[in-house]
Amino acid sequence: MTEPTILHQKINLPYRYTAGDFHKAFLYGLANRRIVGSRCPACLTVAVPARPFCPECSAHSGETMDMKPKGTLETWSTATIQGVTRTYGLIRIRGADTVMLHIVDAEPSTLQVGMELVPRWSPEPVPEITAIAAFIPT
Amino acid sequence: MGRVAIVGVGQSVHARDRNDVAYAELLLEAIDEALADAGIGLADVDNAVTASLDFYDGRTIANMAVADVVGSYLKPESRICSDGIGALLYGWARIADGAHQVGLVTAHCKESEGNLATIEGAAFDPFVQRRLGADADVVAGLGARQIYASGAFSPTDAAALVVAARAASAVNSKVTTLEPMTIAEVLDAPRLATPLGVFDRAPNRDGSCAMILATEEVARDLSDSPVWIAGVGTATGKYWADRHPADLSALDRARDSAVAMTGWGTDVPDLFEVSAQYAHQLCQFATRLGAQLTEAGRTLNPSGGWHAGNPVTVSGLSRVTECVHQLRGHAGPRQLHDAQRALAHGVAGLGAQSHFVAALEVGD
Repeated sequence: MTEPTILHQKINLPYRYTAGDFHKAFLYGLANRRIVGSRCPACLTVAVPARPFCPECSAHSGETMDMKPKGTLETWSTATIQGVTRTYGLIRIRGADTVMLHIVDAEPSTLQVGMELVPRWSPEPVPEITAIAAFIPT
Repeated sequence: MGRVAIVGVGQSVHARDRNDVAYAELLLEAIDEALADAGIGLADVDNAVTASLDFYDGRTIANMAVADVVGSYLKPESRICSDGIGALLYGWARIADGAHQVGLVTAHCKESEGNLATIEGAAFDPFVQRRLGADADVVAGLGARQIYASGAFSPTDAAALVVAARAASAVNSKVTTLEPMTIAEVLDAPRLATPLGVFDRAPNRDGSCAMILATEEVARDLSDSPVWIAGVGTATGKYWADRHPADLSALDRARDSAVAMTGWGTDVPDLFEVSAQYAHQLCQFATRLGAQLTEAGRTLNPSGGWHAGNPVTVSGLSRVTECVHQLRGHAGPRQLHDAQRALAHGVAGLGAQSHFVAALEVGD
């Protein structure tokens, strides 16, 4: 036997993720064209997207808050993944102590650290991160 | 707390597609070599700690698929879903606390068998990130741009480490010899995730590693010059998107914990084996651990490191293996002069979230 025997199989693994109150607030905020963050009651860190626990001190988040739908670009990377070329960025929403990942729709050579970006909303008002189609320069 | 020694090490050959063996057989190559190195049999081992990742093995609770080859039936067996150097720390604790005498530590992975885009994509937060379709290379690219912008390191610094790793692969019989490359060739290669190029990421590999740990009493019985685990440390940093890539506090904590257990004080170790899947991270981690980047291929990663070709999950334990060879004076064509103390480092998680350090030494 010279040729190796290779078995090709596929595991189909559908999943349902329960979002919890804070992710729900963020995702339904997006469906209403709002960007929702959360504030830590202990250290006052503002996290965007809203989340149940503070990324700085692990305290349970206290309240959600509406953010201005504007941010600045901290870094970006362009890659071709499964045939699709996109630029991803880490964006700091105004007033947030954290950054969020999203797609940046702009010619990469025009991008600069600190440039202002705004969301380009998808026509579909869905409670998903894809409710923002991409961030674009102002 | 008892002293713990490494009394046997073994590795499979690490290559692109190990289609000649199933993954349990791949692990057997490393275990057989480690047992022979220690001069004991599998029946002499009283516990096992294995490292593997279900998604790569394509099977849930994948450690059960290697329970027979590690001989853990009717013995305490634990498994970590992280780098194998984490299994070493766990195996060390079992012996240091006096509960066990001889332990087997293993790591295996076939990066070639699953769909890496799916596996790495599953590491992203499902609520606000995964649907965006990014991958681990994008996370590395986002970080690399910030590191290069800070001026701490340049793409040329990173490329020089890739060049050194590829050169070192020629004198490491456990990895595939890579085509030599110049710094310019690394810098001019097609982009992976800007600013990173395809050679900034360590190559796709299948491989395994195994190690035998023992109490001081057993170690002195088996060897005239055991390699001692002088200190260990690990720490996990924040999730990648919440952590600036220049924040190496988890690495600092792991190193400080390990070194604090040794009697080394502020002395610099004789060699460093450092893990990083992306070359800019190797610049960062090696420097922070105290190594000189100009020593790449010598006192920094004489084995060639991850970029010479190891799979994820195995790289950290491979780093320990090289330290053991060097400290014993058995590293063949890549042997360093008079190596007495070594730091081995491992990393795991998206954006290098968790760090592990083992301090190793020879002598009484």
